[in-house]
Order: sequence, then structure tokens, then C-alpha cells
Amino acid sequence: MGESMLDDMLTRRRLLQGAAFVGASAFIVGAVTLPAPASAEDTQEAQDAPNAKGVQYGFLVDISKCVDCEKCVAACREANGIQEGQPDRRHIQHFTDSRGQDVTVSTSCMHCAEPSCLRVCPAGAIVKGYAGIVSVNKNDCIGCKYCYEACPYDVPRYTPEGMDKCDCCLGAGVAPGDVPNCVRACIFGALEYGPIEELKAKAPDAVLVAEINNPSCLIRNSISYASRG
Amino acid sequence: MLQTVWGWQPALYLFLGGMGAGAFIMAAVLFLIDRTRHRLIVCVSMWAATVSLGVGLMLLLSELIHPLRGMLMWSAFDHFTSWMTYGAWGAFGAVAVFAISAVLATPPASKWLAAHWKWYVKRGAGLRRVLAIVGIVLSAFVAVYTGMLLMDSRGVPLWDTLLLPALFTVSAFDTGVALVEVISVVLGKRDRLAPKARSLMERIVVTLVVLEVIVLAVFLATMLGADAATAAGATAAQSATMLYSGVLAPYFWGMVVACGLAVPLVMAIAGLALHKQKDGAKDAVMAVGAIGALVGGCELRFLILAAGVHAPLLATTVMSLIG
Repeated sequence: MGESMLDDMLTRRRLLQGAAFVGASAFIVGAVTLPAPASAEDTQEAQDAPNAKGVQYGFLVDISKCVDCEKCVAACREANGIQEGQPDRRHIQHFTDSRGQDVTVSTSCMHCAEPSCLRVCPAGAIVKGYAGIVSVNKNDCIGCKYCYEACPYDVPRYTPEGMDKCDCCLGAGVAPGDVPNCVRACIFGALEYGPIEELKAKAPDAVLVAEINNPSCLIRNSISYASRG
Repeated sequence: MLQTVWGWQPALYLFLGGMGAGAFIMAAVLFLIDRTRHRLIVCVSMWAATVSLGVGLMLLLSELIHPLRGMLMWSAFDHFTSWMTYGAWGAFGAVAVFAISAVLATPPASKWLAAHWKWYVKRGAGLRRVLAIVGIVLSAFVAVYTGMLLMDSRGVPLWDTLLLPALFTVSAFDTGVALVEVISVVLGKRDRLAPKARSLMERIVVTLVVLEVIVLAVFLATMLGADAATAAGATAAQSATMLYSGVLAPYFWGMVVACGLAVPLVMAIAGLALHKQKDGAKDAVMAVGAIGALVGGCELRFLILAAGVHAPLLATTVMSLIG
């Protein structure tokens, strides 16, 4: 079945749903006061809840090991089918340390414990699922860009399909909790992925990227830490 | 570096939505005070409020990546943890009430309804009063919402304060009154503004401008004095500096402060002082003040959006690690 036909059916179904809603009286009051019917995401989430076990996964980024090879960015683009001209999901930022040396840091979505993007999305297109992964349902995204303004980490990017960001390669077929392609591609060990509490225990010198929204991304400078130790 | 992800359409919507809401409130107040006078001014003002908010909503739709999905409101705005959801439904309700009020304020429509619907002859005036009151409530919501939308994003330090909805609300009322003033000057030959109504509007302008100056000053002072030791505080101060003395300062001082606040205040005071003079002079003074308020109110939204940059949280953390 072609994508356009699917889109047509989706649109027709939505129109019918809408007509039913509008036909029923007091829609707005009902929407506010009554519990919302279970969505496909809710059902899926409930089914997979035992697998998630409430464990939040995240990234550990070691800035002393990043050599700016961009293999993580390339692997992400290839695995997720990001087309030419469309924005990266993973970004490498450059900084200069006190000795004038270039330091690079590779980050993507922080998969926050309390994601602002999810809270402000008017269409409910952003979900937090198993392994704490925050992902976008592009069929629901209207592209209002409110999530960009809400994200303290400057993460959401936009394509003609809607908001686009890291989903830990869920869309590329990587199971929740399995290692995403960017981490697999990092041959220098600058990126690690796993349960965030395990990563914290493994790297006690690592710090959260910031406090806001309790992000699932730790940053460390292992060489500096080792030399201090 | 300026905020550019939300461009001119949301900025213009924030202005048009606020102005439309304020104009409806002013028109509804004129109607509720004395429904036998200012019929044309009330009618045109209600239409202007409807068009203003309606065009604003169309601009928002045009900014979406998927405008058609956005039009299916029951699925596009069904997530009630978002202020945008409340705002979309509130603005939709407001534009509907504005439009019905405007139709009922239009003489041919009102006459047609009275001729075809007996109930309207008896209850039409009451219905219009109820719509005016409901419209005022919805207008107040829309005016507050334009600021809450930005504040509740919480990702932008400059916007993350209740002072922003306060500022946008006062500005919405101010620009709304200005729009009704412009309409009353344009319609002066057909529907002359009564001296008491003119005086009321000028007093309202003086009150609102003084209030707006206070809120704007406290807003800027709070942001300039934010804790620079934190990334969010430093960014809030940086954004406020852009307005106060940075790249946006010429527009801020020239268009917002001088044109949008000083000119309307001086003209409103002059209008009150000239109350015994001829209508022509008073109209000119009122028109200049009102146009200044509209220019300043519009520019305020553009500048607040442009200065709303994110805090460099990652950079702050990395710099703390590399020294």
C-alpha cells in the first residue's frame, strides 16, 4: 500500500473521528474532564512496560576521547536514513580549553526524565517509552516548533515530515536498551550507552549535562580526572 | 545570535491576537455602557477584532509544517499539558464569539434576524450583552495566553517569567484600545465619539501606558539582574542587554519606548487637556497616539521573540570540565 494512500486513509479516518466528536455535544468539556481513550502508544507502552522495568537509559560522553572523526554522526545518518540536506540528529560541538586546545563533544537528544518537548507538544506527538527513550510520532506532529522553544538543550530539528531527533535508533530497528549506531561507530570509546544509573556508577567523575528536566546524558573528562587522581 | 526558529508569523500572531482581544474588550465595554450609541464604531471594531484574531490564527497555521493537520483541531490540539492546546481552543472560541457578536452588531443582519426570528426581537439585546461578556472573558484569556505561550515553554530564560504574560496582556489591551481609537477617528463623520467615551478611552490609555512602562521596566530590570553565575541567568541578562543596549536597542528604544509608549502617553494627556477644543484637533492627537501604540505593540512582539535565545547549558558544563 502506497504511503499517499495510507495518508489519505489516515486523513479520512481523522475526518470521520472529528465529525463524530463534533457531532457529539460538549466535546471540549468532555476532552478536558473525561479520561482520554487509550492511544496506540499507550497500549504499546503498557504491553512493553515489563521489558522497560522503569530503567532509564542514557549516554556517557567522554570529551577526552572524542577526536572529532564524525563517525557517530555518519553512522546515525546512515542507519536512520537521513537524507542529504536534512539536519543531523547528533551534533559535535567545539570548545577551546585553557591551554588553547580544541575539545569536541558529541551529543544528541538528552532523553530527559521530564521532557519539556513532550509536555508542550499540543498534538501529543512526543512519547517517552521503554528504556526512557523520547521519540516522535511523525504522523501526529503538526510542526509547530513549540518543542524547539521548550527544549533547554537545543535538540529538535525540523524536516518536511515534522520534528526530527534522536530516538536511540528505535526507528532504525534497534531494540530499546540495545546500543544505538552512533555508540557502535565510536571506535575511540568516547560514547557509551546503558542504564543511566550504571553509567553513573561506572564513571563517578561524570556530571549530568545540566539539571533542567533531569537529562540522561553524562559528560566526563576522564584524562583530566585520571591526572588529578 | 537571535532566535529565528519562530519567525515573523508567530510574532505577528502574538500582536494581532492581543490587539484583536483588546479591541473586542473596548468595543464590548462601549456597547455595555450605552447600547444606543456608537453603534457603527462598535460594529466595525468587533469586525476588526474578528479579522485581527482570525488573520493571526491563519498566520500560525501557515507557520506549521503540516497546516492541514493543524486544521483538524480535535487531533492536533488534544494534549492538555500544553498551553498551545488551551490557547488554540480559547482563540477558536474567541474568534467564533467575536464573529457572532460582529454579525449581530451589523444593522442589516440584525434587521433580518428580527424579521425572521421573533425570539430575537425580545431577546436579541440580552443575547448581545451575554456575548459581549463571554467575549470579554475569552479576550482576556487570549491576551494572557499570548504571553503564557512563551512563558510556559520554559526553555528560554528571557521568557521564563510571569512578567511576560503581564507585559503582553497590558500591551494587548493598550493596542486594542488604539485600534478602536483609529476606527472611531476614521468613522468620525458618521458616528462621532461622545465626549465621555473619548475621555474614558484616553484615561484608559494613560493608565495602560503607565502600567506597561512599569511592567516593562521591572521585566528588563529582573532579566538584567538575573544571576549571572548560572547559564540561564547569564542568558536572560544577555537577552535583556540585546534589547537595552545591544543589537536590538535602536528598535526597542525607538519603536517600543518612544513610538509605542511615549507618543501614546503624551497624546492621551494632550487629548484630555484639549477636551474643549474642536474635534479635528482631538482626532488628530488621538490618531497619532493610537498609531504609535500599534507600531510599538507590534514591534514589542518581534523583539521579545528575537531576543529569546536558549542558554548554552552544554557549553557551561563542558567549560567547567576543561577549565
